[in-house]
Amino acid sequence: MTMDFQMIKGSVSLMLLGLLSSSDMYGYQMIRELTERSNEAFGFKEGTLYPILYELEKKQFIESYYEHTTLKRKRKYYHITDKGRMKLTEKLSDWHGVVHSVDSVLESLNLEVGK
Amino acid sequence: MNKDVSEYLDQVCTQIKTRQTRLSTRSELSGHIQALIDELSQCGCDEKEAVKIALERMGSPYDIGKQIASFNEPWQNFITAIAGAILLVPIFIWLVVSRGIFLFDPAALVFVLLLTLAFVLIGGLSRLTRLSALARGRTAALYAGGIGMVIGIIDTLGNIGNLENIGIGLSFCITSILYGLITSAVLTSIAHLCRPLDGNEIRKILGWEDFEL
Repeated sequence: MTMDFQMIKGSVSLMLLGLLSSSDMYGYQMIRELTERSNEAFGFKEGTLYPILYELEKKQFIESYYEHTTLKRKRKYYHITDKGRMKLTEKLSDWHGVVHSVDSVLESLNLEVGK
Repeated sequence: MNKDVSEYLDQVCTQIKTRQTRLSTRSELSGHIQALIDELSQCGCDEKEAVKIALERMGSPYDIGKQIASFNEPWQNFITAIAGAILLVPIFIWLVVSRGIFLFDPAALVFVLLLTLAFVLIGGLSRLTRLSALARGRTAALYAGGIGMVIGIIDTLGNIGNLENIGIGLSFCITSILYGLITSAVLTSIAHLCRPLDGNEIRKILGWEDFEL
């Protein structure tokens, strides 16, 4: 299943902040985690993750550091900041609010799938 | 590195103006692509196939570069243009009006173009993709202009006692930096023009946004 990218775009930064709140990660790892945890529902292009990460870094919700994997190669890890944790809490309650409201509307309409 | 991968990274990086962002983006994306290729190769893909699928999964390089550039350096173009205008325009006007120095100097033009070409070719022809050559030329032209300016200043200072001969050095100095800027701007425009379009962009241009190709 592939979801409409526009539909999930706004929630990607929420999910990234959520992932980083448990441990520091690098870009590829985040994509793999997202894919695994969503049962491969998000068919978005992997490269689009990076502009979102850089934007979060610019806003100081996350910060990055390098770690050497071999002598020549280094990997960029991301770490959530205190400001980022506050944003995460805020966005999380926003998200639950939106989901709840959309659900209430749809439930009140008594729609049935397939009709 | 595989040529398709480096072409892809070039396409992302031509959108990004600051060197620091370009380098860090390049290294991070290249790590990601390499990890994808390794993963696909383990599943039994041959290298060519693995590269193709990996780049497909990364998405449009143009969009990625554009998005990174859009919030990372929104003032970059504006600042460069304003700084250039403030610094150069009065100097040119002053030179043309009061000193009668013309802005065409064949020696400076040949010097800047040859030096730019030499800078692009340093490091080997075989490793250049079309876009990386253009991107390198963009920076090289500026350096060439700068070097021409320094040579012009040295020549001017050497002739400082003899005011009749000062014009040659002064004109070389000013025109070479001008030619450096123009060459760099032209190469940048070509780089932006010659990126291949992907399906979505073609649809946008044709106004077929609602159709599937």
